[in-house]
Amino acid sequence: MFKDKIELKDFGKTDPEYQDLLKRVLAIQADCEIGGPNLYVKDMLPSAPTKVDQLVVARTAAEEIDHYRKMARLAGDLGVDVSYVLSWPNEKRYVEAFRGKITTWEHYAVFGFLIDRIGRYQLEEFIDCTYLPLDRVVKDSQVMREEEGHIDFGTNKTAEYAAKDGDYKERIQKAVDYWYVKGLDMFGKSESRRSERYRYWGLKRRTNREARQQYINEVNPLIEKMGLRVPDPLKGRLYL
Amino acid sequence: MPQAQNTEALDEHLKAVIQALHGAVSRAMPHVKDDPKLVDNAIRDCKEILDVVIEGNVSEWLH
Repeated sequence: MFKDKIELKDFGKTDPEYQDLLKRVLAIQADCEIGGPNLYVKDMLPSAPTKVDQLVVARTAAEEIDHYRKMARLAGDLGVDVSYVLSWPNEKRYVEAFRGKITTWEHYAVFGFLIDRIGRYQLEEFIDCTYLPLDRVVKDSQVMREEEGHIDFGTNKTAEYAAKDGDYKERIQKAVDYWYVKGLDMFGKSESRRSERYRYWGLKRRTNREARQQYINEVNPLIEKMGLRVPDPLKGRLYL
Repeated sequence: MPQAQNTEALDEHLKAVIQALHGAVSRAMPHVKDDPKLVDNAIRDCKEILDVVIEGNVSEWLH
């Protein structure tokens, strides 16, 4: 296992595989950060249920753009321009969950509850990683605090809908069914050689399988506590 | 390792965008109940700013 700690000035001396993997993961992370606002801003900013909700959508988008900025800066310092993802249509996103569109408030709520939570998992992977500029960005309490804020908002709104009767509950269950499977796929294949190489180079902490299982252990009790059904974890999955 | 072109310029531009969004939200949030016009204006400002970001014409932003 690679245990060195790398600063920007030493990056050029690192193994080509290390360089490739770091550049790749920064591009994907930047894409995921900007992918959120691209999913929901257009429809949710004008149509969120209250003025406060509209302002929360705008603030959440601002925070995600700032996370993109931080990842783009890290990549740019390595000579990688990731601004191309700013102009990408959603269908081109690296991660399948970001290739659609969010057009209802239930989906916006569940996206925060389930998918922003995976955003936190992704960022946690980089804590104590071997590339120190990235380690510093994720240890900046602001980034994690903002992600937690998105998760809490989504969790509270999902629970609010789940506590209502009839149609509301059914709609939120459908949104959970949709995003739960997308979320599990976001961790990638359980048997992934690339994931092992990320771990070898100290750029990630957990295997895909471990991270996904921890996520399941975290969200399933929350879904049940809301009185919702935990979806079939295999139905509709693209990556097992 | 040479820095990618426009790294600084894009970083500065996005900082300004983010600051403008936070400014609009912070101005409006305390007045949700007592000043609907101010809130509507802030939401409109946010929409205008975010529409430009979502459009993603980076070369236009930087020149």
